[in-house]
Amino acid sequence: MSENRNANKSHKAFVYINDIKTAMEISMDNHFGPPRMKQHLLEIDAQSNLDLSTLILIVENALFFMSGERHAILKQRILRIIGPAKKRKWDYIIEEAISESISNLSATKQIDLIADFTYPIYRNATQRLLGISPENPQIFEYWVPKLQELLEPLLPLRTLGKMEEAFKSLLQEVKRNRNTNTDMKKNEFIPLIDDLIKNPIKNFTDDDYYAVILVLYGASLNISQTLGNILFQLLKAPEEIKKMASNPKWVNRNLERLIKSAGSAPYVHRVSSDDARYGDYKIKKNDNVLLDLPQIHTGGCPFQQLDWGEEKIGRNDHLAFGRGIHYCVGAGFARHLMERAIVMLFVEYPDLVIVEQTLDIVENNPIVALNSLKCKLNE
Amino acid sequence: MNNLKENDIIEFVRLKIVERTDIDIDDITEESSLEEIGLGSLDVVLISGEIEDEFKVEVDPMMMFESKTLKEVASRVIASK
Ligand code: HEM
Repeated sequence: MSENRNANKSHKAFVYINDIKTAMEISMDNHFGPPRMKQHLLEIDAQSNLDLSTLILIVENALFFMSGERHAILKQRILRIIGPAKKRKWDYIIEEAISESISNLSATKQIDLIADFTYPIYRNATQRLLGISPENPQIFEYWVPKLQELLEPLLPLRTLGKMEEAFKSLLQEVKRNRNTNTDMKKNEFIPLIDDLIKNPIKNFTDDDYYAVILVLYGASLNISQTLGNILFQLLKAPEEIKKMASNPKWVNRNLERLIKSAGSAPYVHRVSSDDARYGDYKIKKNDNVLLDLPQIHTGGCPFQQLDWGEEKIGRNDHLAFGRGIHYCVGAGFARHLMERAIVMLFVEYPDLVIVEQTLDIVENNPIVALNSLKCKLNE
Repeated sequence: MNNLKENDIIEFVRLKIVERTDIDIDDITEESSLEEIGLGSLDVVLISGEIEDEFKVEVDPMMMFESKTLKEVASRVIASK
């Protein structure tokens, strides 16, 4: 848990960036773009016996891998619906999802904050936000974490083959079971998929929109993971800090500190279009550059005790949501959800304590997250 | 036994590299590194897949990049079995 996960991992084709200054500069430098995933998959599709048509559709509509005008137009459109400027339209979805999870908690004494709290909030809130209503929830939820794997560099062919199958069935579920709000009250939020289909973007098809929605749903899983990490930090904190977790002003003031140390995204992946030199890093054209977020933010030890010092940490002091053109499109939604979930949970259950000594960390995946976080509601 | 397998893997990878590049087979030795051969991500992903099919093992393309020589690739493939 405490070792530096990527120390000396850099080699010629992959350069790991471990300091925040260089990472921020690279994020803003247009000589570094997203991995050329579509091209990569097209070539694999042509040169192997795999059919990757669904994966290609997905990456064509994943902002992470997009650039230029198509990226800008889609991003602007998504932000117009789910961005922070529309908070008054969607914040009730968050309140309802959190309230429902909290009332379900009271039924039991020992709980798992991931399975019983952060995950259902993520699922219920984002499904309503995006317009998803899976017919086979278990199968759907089984495959969703695979969406996050798409961001890993150099996936083996066997994984790509499995992902193709998974995404094909996920896409069918999303298509067949749109969560259309039939009981629409005036001014109520219109799910993103309905808005996209009603007001089409030039050169986008309905299949593109469904792929967009699926990508957003997969990316949103970071909400459950980051919120889980934050709750762990708060539950492990000294008593006087833990007491503050029910105080909305304190949580608001400390939210960025929490997100910085608890962000679940493991890295930001860029490819350089030129030779470059950044401090000690020598980067060659076409090198894969990985901004190593846990290393940058926590020295590679994401679950260690936090420094609760007075230094103020602002939104621009970390990279937990990335930076620049590819800044997280769900950051506003995620921030508000996590802030409310922390306060509402600790108001209701101020005596929450962790019952397990060993941490149940996700291990076969670079994501920084807990599989479970078992707690008691009362001492 | 292990040695034999290691050599089989090295031979197989050398042939696959020749198929994907215009490098002469004699210029690819067990001490060659993928970087000096000039293999890109696509080549590495595809060759990893071919090693998997041929030897019924799991090969992580990232491991191929991290290995310093073809010999190291082969021994890591065997170790992961
Ligand atoms: C705490 C929760 C979240 C964390 C830690 C997180 C983290 C990140 C990071 C680090 C990036 C930058 C990736 C890059 O530059 O390559 C990013 C981008 C992105 N995020 Fe999030 N995210 C979160 C929540 C969400 C949510 C709720 C959504 C969807 C509703 C979302 C959708 C996306 C998308 C589509 C991008 C790509 C944006 C672009 O390339 O323009 N994320 N996120």
